[in-house]
Amino acid sequence: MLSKGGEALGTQTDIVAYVATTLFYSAVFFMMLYKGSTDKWRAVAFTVSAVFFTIAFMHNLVELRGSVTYSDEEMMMCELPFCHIVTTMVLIPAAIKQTIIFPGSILTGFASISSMFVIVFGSSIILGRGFCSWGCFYGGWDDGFSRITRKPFIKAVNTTYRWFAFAMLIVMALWSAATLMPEYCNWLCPFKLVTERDAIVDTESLLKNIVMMTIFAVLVVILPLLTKKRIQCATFCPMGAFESLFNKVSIFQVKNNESRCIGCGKCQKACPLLAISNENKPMINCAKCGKCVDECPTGAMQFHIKGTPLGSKMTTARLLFLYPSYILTVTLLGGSMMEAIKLFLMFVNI
Amino acid sequence: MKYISYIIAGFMTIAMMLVFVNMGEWMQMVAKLPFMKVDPWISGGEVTDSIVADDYKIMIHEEVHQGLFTEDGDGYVQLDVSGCYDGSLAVGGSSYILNADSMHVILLEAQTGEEVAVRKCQSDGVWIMRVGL
Repeated sequence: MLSKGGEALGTQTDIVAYVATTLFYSAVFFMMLYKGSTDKWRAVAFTVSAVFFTIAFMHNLVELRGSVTYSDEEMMMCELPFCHIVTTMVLIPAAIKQTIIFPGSILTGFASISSMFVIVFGSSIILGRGFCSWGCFYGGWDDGFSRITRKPFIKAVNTTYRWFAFAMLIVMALWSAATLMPEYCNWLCPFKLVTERDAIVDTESLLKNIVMMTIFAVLVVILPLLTKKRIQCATFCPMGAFESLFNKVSIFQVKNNESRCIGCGKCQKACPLLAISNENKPMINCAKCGKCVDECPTGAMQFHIKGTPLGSKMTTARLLFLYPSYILTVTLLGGSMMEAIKLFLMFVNI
Repeated sequence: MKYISYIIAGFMTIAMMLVFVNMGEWMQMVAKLPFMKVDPWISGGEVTDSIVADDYKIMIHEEVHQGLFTEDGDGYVQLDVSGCYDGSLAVGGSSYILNADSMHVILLEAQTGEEVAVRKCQSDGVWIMRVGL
């Protein structure tokens, strides 16, 4: 409702979809507050939202252009929806050449460049890298697959791999600036499989599709299944690295209260983003999912507000973080859930 | 100090709602930023010339080049062609023969008569062609 400017609910299907969506998100948030655990319920909303987003997004594309693939025509006409990950690749040309290197629309159409800038920078200033755990519709896929197995088959993942994402950010930003095309989207983005991808018309587009599907299979499905970590988000996503920088700006933090810490290392083992150091301290790439806070047996890991004493008013700090975070999830992804439910209702002729 | 922090943190809930409630206005503000225009290398650049007659219209865009700092990389000129046209055309200092109607568009070298490979698509009856320089 917020994202659509309070658009009226026209039909009975709209009302049913709206009620179902509201009930789902309200129930999950209620459980988050009632049970006192954050990550488990966040992951339910996050993963389900990602799946519904994909259904609604792909359906939208099929209605608009008859296919989930895009052709040279959409590129030449600048009609592609802008994705938040592209933000990392447009920054250098925006600074030097004063232009945006993406074949999308600045102001009009679905997922315009300016709308995604507002969402990305607005939510990142507020939540820091919390966007990756509460708003990113791709992260939900990675998160979902990392939760399917009960125990990890690969138990130890070297946490230094987290820096690879920062290397990706630098390489992708420079490569894209050199060619004036968003090359991560062009060649590497695994999530084109769940949104839109190149139509296969020649060897190059075939190769792009093979690369994209391979990366999706390895980084989003197989490795998260084996390690129970969000490998794509932790080690490969340039946007994740970019969002990490906003952790320095955001007022919300995850902190380890060392006076309570017994050094058991459960937080480091649990962290899906390899964001806890060997000294059990959250690092710059923490996405504030809350898993370490839930796992900590002594309550040393906690949501914290900058400028307040560590260890005081922990519940207040958690709630003050949960409200804006959950608003991001519901507002950014709730509309897609409504659309997907409407599709389902129409499919079963209700 | 700590109370100010809590107040700011509380305001963040309102701020997050304002991001979405006020989306239209924020978008307008962002769109006015000086760098918020699609790069000509991608969009095809501004129209600099046009040839208009009763049964055809040809819009000729500026020359665009691929380059972050300089404009000495690969370049092209975009042509938007609508209607039926069969005649000569000068693009980027070279002469061509353009043959276009609603079904097809062909660009030939004026001197050799060989077909020139162009990136092209059709949208709303307008042929969009990018002719390499």
